[in-house]
Amino acid sequence: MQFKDYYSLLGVARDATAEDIKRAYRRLARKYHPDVSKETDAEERFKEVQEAYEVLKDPEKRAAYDQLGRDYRPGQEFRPPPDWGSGFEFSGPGGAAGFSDFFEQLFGAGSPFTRGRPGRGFDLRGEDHHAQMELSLEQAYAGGVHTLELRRPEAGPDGRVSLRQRRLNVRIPAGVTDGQVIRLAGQGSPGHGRGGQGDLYLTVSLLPHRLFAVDKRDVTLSLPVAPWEAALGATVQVPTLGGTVELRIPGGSRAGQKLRLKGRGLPGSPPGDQYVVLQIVLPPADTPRARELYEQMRKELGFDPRQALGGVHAA
Amino acid sequence: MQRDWCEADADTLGLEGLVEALGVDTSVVVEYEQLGLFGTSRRGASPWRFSAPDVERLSRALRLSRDLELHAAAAALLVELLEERARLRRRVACLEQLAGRGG
Repeated sequence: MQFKDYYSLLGVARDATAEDIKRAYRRLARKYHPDVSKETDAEERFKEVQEAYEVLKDPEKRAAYDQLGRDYRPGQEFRPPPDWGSGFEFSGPGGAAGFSDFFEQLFGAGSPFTRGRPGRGFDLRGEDHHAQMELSLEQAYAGGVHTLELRRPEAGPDGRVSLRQRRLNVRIPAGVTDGQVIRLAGQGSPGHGRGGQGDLYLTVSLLPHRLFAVDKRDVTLSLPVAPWEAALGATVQVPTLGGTVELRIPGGSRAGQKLRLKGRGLPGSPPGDQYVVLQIVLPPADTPRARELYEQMRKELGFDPRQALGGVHAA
Repeated sequence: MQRDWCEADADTLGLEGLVEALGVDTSVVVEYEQLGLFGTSRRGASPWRFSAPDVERLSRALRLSRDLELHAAAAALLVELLEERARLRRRVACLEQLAGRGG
């Protein structure tokens, strides 16, 4: 079993005060807590920091640990002494789930530090897990069983914290929206004693889609149309989540005009809508004939696109 | 026959159910309720029913409070801000995508 140097994990000296230790912990917790950290190995580092603090913040545990450390030489195989924990007061429940073997042996369930007082059991509810579940828009539309890969920090036999993979099948209802939270009771960490299992919270995160922008249950599609289709009206084919449909573009439509396909968004009660935003695209003026036609329009239509700007003077 | 997948928990929890689910005291739930963690505009009809997002918020607040050694008001604020930030990021990504194609 590997000896864990809790002082170096927290970056404090062996004679650090309780205040030093608390300050060091808070600084590292801010840096590595998975909910707020930007570091790549945040989960593993946080577990280590948490374990170190669990021991060093408690005067009893710290005193016992210091005594242990005095006799230890780096590189040695470590074994707890036979009279481990004797002479110390009983304290509260041992560490949370997921700490190293080193911690479990010395301070965990079954150690002198958790032989509870009579009538005082050792029950600790398992930790809740929070994870993101990435789905494509198609998956959100259709619902169904989705396989999730989860990672959880766990301590291996050598004491190093690593991320353990777990696969889970989840049935998602059709029409889940971005940001929706799904609770899976009992899928978190196991507890100790009679403490219940923790829960798993999945926050849905929709992946960006090639065609559609999503806002809750509504989707928006940018639809390229020719100038005459917008000006004169037309019936065109438009993709929706449920397949292609026909859309009637009214004559006299403007660029950026929004048309609504009711009920063609994500399912629900009520279902979302699909909005189609008209994007006028110009035929390229890349042949003499095309240029001729554009010139004709310019001459004969008398169209001033900047009329609304009023008189524009050069600086 | 055993299902090989998990079903999402669709029910709302009452106060008792919530206390049991998270292993906390009622007073803790009340404190966070007063701090507005579950939304300031509660459905008038059932103020003490908690949906999945409510439970998730409380679970996260409890964990942050413990891990970062925050008092309840700070933990509640942090949860709200993290949620708002995530929501805004998704919105920005969506709008950028829309603007990118419309231009």
